[in-house]
Amino acid sequence: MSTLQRISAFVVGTLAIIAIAAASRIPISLGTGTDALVRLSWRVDGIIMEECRQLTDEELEKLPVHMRNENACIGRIAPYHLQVGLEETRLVDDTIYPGGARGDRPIYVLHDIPVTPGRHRVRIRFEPILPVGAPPGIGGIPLYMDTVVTVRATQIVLVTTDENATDLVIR
Amino acid sequence: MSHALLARLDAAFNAVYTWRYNPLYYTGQLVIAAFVALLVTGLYLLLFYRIGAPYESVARITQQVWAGRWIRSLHRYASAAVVVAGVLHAIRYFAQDRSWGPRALAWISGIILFALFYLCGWTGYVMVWDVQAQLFAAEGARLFDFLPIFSEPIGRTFVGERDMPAAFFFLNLFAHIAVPVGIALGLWIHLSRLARSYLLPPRPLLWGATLLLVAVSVAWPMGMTPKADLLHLPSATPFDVLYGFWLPVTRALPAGSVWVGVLAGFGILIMIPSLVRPQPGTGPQPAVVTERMCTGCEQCYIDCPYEAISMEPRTDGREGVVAVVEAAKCTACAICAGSCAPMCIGIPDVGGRDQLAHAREFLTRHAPGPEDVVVIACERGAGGIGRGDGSPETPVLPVPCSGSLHTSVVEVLLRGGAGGVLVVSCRPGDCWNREGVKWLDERVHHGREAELQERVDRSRVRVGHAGAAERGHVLALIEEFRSEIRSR
Repeated sequence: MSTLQRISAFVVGTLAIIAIAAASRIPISLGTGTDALVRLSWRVDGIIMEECRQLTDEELEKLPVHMRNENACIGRIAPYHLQVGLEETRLVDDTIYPGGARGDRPIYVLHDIPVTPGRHRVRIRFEPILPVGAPPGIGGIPLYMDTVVTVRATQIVLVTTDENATDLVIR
Repeated sequence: MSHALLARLDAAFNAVYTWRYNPLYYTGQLVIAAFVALLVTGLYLLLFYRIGAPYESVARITQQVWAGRWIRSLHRYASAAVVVAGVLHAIRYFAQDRSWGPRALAWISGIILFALFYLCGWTGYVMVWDVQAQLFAAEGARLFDFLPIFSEPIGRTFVGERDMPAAFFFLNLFAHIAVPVGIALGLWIHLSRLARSYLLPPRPLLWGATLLLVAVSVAWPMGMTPKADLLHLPSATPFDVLYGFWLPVTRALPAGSVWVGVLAGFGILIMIPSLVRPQPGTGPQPAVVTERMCTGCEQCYIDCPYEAISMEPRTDGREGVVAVVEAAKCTACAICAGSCAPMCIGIPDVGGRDQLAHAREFLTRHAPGPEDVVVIACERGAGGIGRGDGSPETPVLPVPCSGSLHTSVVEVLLRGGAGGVLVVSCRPGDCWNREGVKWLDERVHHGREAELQERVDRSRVRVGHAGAAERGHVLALIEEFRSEIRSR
């Protein structure tokens, strides 16, 4: 390796490693710097509503002897209807289903709503969707909020439930 | 076309680094070297990392611990070097058509290894718990929450409702340490079909790269970026594009689309060995052994770069062992043909006897005189001259790999009237069959079994090497040797 080659190798190697170092710290902009969010995040356990029916003799016959229970019940948690309004505009109108393959796990709400900094009137309705004919009070507690919040640039205003999960609060 | 581009790049780097230390020839070894650097620096950093106060402990490492800032920077830069060298390694093997057949295991395990390195890098960034970590963690949670595997969405951990639990950082640290164990296992699988794996690059390249990494770590160390704040949107942050290039894209897409893209990309990469392999019946055939001629000397078994040959008890009633080729492991490199003195093994048409027949036919066609140089050239490297027929003044006898050349061919050509024989191979670090150049040199100059016979005048035989794009170098070698032969 000649001296010129040694120098060239050093220069090329140094440039390559500087490029690698630079690539690991390139400044990127992830927003305008004036964005803000209203973040909805809460969990409700809901109430399991059992739907029971009597098995037919034919269905019972197919089951092993030790599992022949005349009543078959399926427990489900009622889904919720989520509505979010900002000022006079309705931004979210969605059905939130319980988790789990059988719909028997708690309900999680996780929703980010971009807003501009400033004062905003936030209205939230979160109500269980009950089967037709279900008695009132069954299926979980509805949650409501109607408040004005002041949001600063880059701030995330968190809307969640209180300690008892009976009301929506801002943190 | 990719092969031609790579060959030009190789030639440019050879001009700077010489072929002995061309880093493009040692990308795989550079990944392992960087991995070792990551392990060593990572163990040091682990001594000071606290899962109860991740950001604060990293800040302490950076600002107070002896050499902590430099070692942390070295850890970070080495992880970036892994990505760069790993990508170049994969591109090289793809461009050189070395990803299918028996090499498919190495390709697939390499892709999985790369994914593991990425996962490890991801967890490493989260450990710092700065703004970039927040982005990685929140986006990762969003993507994983799309999969029905967690009873509670992990994204809720990052909403800012409560402080980050230490259990999260414990799990993250556990993954960051456990994944390298998987990487080590993956490396073993990756190299399992290679005989005599070379784990590290040549020492000057190894120490040169290490010293440069250390120098950059000292001269330009990583600082601290703002701490993650889950109740504030990050507006700008220094960002590692090597590990997070995907983040700006995925953040704008639904999680389902991201998973479809990731799985499709991963699937295509994994399927490359199936996509690029030759049609059945058109690819190279594995080596075959003529048992009655095999002496059981074991030289082909020793020389095979892929451990595709084993020695088994003979089946022809005689005592001893015979070479047996495992077709699934044979890349058809034909190096065994060059290693077999009695010429009983080789791929069809490239066995020792076939080579002699080709050489005799070549002599009949070209009738080289005592002032002529005959060139035996590798079809893949050697400045590309192995893919042509040469010129009337310099006829070329192509071979699939210089390591497959039986030295008797050289003798036959000289006896047939040629003034000299120049064997041109690939560059030693870039042999398509790993060890062809090494074995050729040892057979011609160092008496390795199937050696060039002593009766052959060594001054009329020369071995040179050149990359596929270094035609000028090959022509210079030919001219120099021809002048030497003619001046006698």
